[in-house]
Amino acid sequence: MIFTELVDFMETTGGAAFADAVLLRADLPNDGAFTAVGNYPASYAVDMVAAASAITGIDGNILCENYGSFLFTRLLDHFPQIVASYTSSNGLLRHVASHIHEEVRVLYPDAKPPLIETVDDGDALRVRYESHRPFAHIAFGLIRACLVHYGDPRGIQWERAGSAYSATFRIAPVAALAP
Amino acid sequence: MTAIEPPDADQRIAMLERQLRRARVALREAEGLLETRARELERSNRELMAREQALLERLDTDNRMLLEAERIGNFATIRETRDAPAIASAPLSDLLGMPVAAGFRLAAVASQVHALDQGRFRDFVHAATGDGPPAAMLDFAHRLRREAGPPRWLRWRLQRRITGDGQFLDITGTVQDISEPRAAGRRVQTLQLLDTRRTRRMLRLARDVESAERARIAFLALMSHDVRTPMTGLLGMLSLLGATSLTADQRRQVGLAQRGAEQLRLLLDEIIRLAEDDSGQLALEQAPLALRSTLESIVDFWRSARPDAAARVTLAIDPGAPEWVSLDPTRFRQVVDNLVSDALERSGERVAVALGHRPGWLRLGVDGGPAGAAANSNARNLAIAVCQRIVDALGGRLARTTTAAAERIEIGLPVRIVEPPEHDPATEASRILVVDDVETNRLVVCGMLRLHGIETVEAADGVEAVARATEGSLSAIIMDIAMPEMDGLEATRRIRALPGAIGKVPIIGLTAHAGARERDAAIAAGMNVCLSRPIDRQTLTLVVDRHLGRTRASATPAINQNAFRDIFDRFDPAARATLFHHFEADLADQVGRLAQAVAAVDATAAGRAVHSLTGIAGTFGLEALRRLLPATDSGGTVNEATLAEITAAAQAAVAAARQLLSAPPTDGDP
Repeated sequence: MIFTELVDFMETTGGAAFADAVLLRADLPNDGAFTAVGNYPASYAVDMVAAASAITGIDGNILCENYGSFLFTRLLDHFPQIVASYTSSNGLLRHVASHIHEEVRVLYPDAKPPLIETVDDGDALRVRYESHRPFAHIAFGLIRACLVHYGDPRGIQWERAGSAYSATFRIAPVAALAP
Repeated sequence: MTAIEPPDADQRIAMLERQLRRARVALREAEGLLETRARELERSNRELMAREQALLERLDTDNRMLLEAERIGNFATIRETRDAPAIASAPLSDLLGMPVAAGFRLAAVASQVHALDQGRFRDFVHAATGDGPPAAMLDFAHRLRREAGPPRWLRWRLQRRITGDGQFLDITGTVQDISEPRAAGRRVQTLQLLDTRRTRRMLRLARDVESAERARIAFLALMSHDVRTPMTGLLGMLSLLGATSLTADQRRQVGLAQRGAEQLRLLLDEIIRLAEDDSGQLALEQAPLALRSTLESIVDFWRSARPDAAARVTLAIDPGAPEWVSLDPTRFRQVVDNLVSDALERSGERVAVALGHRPGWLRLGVDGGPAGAAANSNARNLAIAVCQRIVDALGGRLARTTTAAAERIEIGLPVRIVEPPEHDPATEASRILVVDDVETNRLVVCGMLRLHGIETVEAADGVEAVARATEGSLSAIIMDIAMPEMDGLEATRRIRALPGAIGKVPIIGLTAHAGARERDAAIAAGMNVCLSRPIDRQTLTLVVDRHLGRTRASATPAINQNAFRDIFDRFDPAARATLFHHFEADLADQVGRLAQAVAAVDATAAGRAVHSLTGIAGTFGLEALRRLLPATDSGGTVNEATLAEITAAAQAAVAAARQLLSAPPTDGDP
């Protein structure tokens, strides 16, 4: 659903013509025909983000983060009971791997969800992302939207340079975050 | 982000067409995926249904097997819970003899329970299904109510569970018809009881038979002992009578009387031997035995003891037969002696003794003529019975082959070949000089000694005896006292005067006069001991053995240390000293009484003293003394020779006891 939601994100934010232009420009082997139940190469998403960045002049990473935040609201629509079962962002984030990704694996045996690890650090929480797909920025956007949803006043920061495949985020009170 | 608006309608149409195309392709792809997933689901569903079916069948089979098992084992399963109705397997109705409807309660069974078990059953149901008592395995058996026939028994085994606060939760278990196993158990018990009673009765009978047999043998032995003493005298008188001048007719009559008396004596000997052998376990010893010389001495004895046998007895020894074997020498001699004597007795035929050998076994055959009508069958049977018993005890076999013309008795004995002993006084060839002017007396004494494995030389009077002694190489001398030419006393004095070892040779006197004066004179002349005639073989060999230093008692310790310690170690040193004082005094006192009784020829007093001594010897483990003491019911058989032995053994026991007490006790007690 990452791909269908990405197309939706393009349409929602830039309109149907923009989404069409991105798909034309990305020139994907399937011509941008995505279904929520299908499985596609990560490069399709990378190509689409690159095309959108070229058309709009906005940094691809920023686009990914924004898409991540958009995706969280969609997940909230699709699976409200999952989100409702947690009362805080920490609660949800700690159980991403054991709860949500486990269900994904059961429903879609071919799917390979990313590795998400959390480590408590006083008031702060460290979240590590690692995947065969370069979607660290999407994850970053997802977490940011999650904090907003739970009214969590803390901020989020890339802890180390990392890469799109592997990164660690630090969630902490804004004052404690590096400038 | 800024929306991009297509410039015109055509471009807009083209965009919509592209969107439509993408939507169609995506739709088809999605449909394909859904199709695939649907098929997978369908397949999984079918597999699940198949597994469910298999499980159901398995459950059904298990259930049927359980029911079958219940039918065969005559039991049913039951489960009753606090709230839900009870569940029971089908056989329960048959077991109880009442229809069991779903939802019945255990308590309802009471209507089928035997009137006498009703109360117990109610208690059982209360214990099983009531609140309170802890969880447990309940086991209960009761009878069923029945119109006729033997009672049927049911056994309940229920596992009871309770909740945390002690409330009854459920019971699960079995109820089984145990009428048959119970009845079988009863039958087994009854049979065992019968068997135990029968065995006890048989043991009692066996004991009665045994004691009757012992009494019979003891009576026989006693009678034989009593009869043998005058018989020995009779024989002596007959031989003396035979030496006087008689007419041919008288000589023939005396000869007949002698033969009859001799036969009677042989029979008595056999009875005594049988009685002695039967009086308990045959005590066997293992000692080196020289086969050839033993057999030769036996055959020689019979050749000389019976003039008619001299030419009849032959001895053949397999050259491969071992020289020395380990075997009880006394018992072996007894068996061969009996067999040869028996063969000589039963006919006038030749008697052939043959010794063969196989690895680990000796084969001794004695061939003789058939048992004629004249032979004394009672004596024969006794002799053979003695042999059979000894051979059995030695682990061998005895075979008797009879034909019209001959009879052969063959024995096989397991033996171990041994090296000849280096120097053992017990087996060293001893040579004894027998001095007596009466040839028959010499013959009898020599015969006794040869049977005992002792070589003999003879002298007819004192002069001949001194001459023979001068030649040396004698182990002992048995000397008659009253003789022509030179009497035994003078001869003894002269031999004692001889230089060297021969001057110290043991000299055993024999006299027909049992008076103290006679005995004192003999001892004064230098004799070691003086025995009264008639002399029996036992006394003679006992005294000879003692003086040759090959007394059998020497193999027996004076004191059984363990038995002695058992008593003395229980006391502290002071008490031990007191106990020892009493022990020594009692022993001396009883030996003294025995000596007085023997001197006074008072059999009753002797019996009492022997009885007391046997008690002391048994209590303190005085083994050597105990062996010397005759059975208490024949105390009269103690004579001077055995009295000397008994006195010596008592003194040795006191000395050994004193030594034991001065040594530290075995348990380290100070």
